Amino acid sequence: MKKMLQITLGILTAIGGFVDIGDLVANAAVGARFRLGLAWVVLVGVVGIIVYAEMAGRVAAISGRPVFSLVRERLGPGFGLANLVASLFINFLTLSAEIAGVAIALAMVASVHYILLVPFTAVLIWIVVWRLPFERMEQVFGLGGLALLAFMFALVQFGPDWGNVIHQATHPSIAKEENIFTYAYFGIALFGAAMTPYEVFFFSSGAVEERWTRKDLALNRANVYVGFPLGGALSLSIMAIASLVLAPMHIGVDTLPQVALPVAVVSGKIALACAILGIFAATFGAALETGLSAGYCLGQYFGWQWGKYVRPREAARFHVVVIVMVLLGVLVIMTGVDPVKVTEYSIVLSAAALPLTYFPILVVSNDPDYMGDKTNGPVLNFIATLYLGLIVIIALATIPLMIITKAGA
Amino acid sequence: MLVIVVSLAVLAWRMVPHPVGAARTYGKYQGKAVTTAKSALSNVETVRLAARTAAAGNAFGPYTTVVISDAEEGLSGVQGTFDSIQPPDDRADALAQDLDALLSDALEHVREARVAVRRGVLDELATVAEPLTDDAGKLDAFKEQHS
Repeated sequence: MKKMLQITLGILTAIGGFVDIGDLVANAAVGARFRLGLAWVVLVGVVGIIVYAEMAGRVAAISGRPVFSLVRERLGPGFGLANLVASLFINFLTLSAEIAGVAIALAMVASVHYILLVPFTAVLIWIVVWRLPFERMEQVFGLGGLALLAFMFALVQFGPDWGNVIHQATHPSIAKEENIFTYAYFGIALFGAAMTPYEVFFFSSGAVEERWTRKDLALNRANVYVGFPLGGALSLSIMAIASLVLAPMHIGVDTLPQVALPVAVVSGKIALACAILGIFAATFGAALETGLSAGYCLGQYFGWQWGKYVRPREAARFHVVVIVMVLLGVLVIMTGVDPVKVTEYSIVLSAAALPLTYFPILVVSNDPDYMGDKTNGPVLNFIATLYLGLIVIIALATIPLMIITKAGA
Repeated sequence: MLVIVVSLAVLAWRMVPHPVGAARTYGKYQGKAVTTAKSALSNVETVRLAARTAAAGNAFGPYTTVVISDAEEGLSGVQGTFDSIQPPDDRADALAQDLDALLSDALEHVREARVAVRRGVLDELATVAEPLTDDAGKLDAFKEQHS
């Protein structure tokens, strides 16, 4: 049991990273619009995040320092600052959307407009960040997020023609009402969602919070190899059930509550309750990840005391950053801006900023001064370099595609 | 840094509500009408599916309320956006009238479904939402005719 609980960092990171409000809506929207024609992107994203999260966790375990603090030291303050600004901006957009996501999940059971629940949500997030120990936080929200298995259950209960499902996923095609640009735009959105930068910042900082050492390298691999494929499988289930239930009815997914509708249709009230619980836990987990990641990034760049493993008084600036980010996120959502739009832009812009995050990880994990004998092997370097090339191409294509497709409209 | 500046500009443009520009030709206007009909159809079908699911005892009242209210808001939004587009000629005027009538009917029927679910009459929700079947059929036909 203890061993199982040790992989909750990976589960929380993956569930918060893979099935936050952006992924929930993006996967369901893609399923309803392209059926399983973009399922392959999720698989490519899962492999990419596994490769880089394993490196980030290994760097943290061997050096005892998270990736961000090494970026400035190894690549200089200029590159570190560019990375910091881009990461904070995307983190902030994502955090705002996640706060709204938690409020919407609560609204699904309270039947109150979600805007009214946003301040309450912010207080809840602050209490958890302030009071709950890191490991307990992982366990509660990582395991709570497993309630999203309701989507997998509904998919199995639906009983699709699995041959047809696999055929659709392995023979991607573009529907006649779509074009190559919208297809590519949504592909980039899914890839950006799978490889969101805050996942690796949170994962590597979490490893330091848990005081991982060289002895924990197996635990790092277990977290990565269990957590991220699980997140990917949940993403694919959401996409598949939306393609089976919503696409035939010409329903496009524009809101978070619509995502859970196929589960209610197929499996009824109990499964719906689980799906809503899972959405709550996943968005709450993602809000914690993004809020803490903002504190981690700034704290690590400027060399402040940071983290939840020290008392708040000793890491006052870190906690102030988290609180300020949460408050600013609340202000953004209280303006009435569409939270789904905010999150769509955050994941697409993540794609544009990916090289700033992943290039330094590749450099540091190959540096024997930090890694000793645990630098990357040639096979891993080959795969990671291929992904870096892909990431650069995607980063260059993102903004033009966003403009050409009017953000996928 | 350039990426961030461009991103901020795009975000500001896309997220802040702004008036919809005039469609200069009938073809462009027709394209916007089809997009509007598609969005409206999605919202109407969402309400039909939610109503059927709740009536069958497969969804809670609060959840169904949120789904239907969101769809109503979405439908009202697409109608408002379409109404703000200036029709370029007489043919476009006629097209606008046809679509606007469909959207108004659908919005009225969605509103009735929302009132029913707020009153907790989930058992009768499928009956209350029945007129939406006709609305969905008409919106689909409009979409096909003008695509």
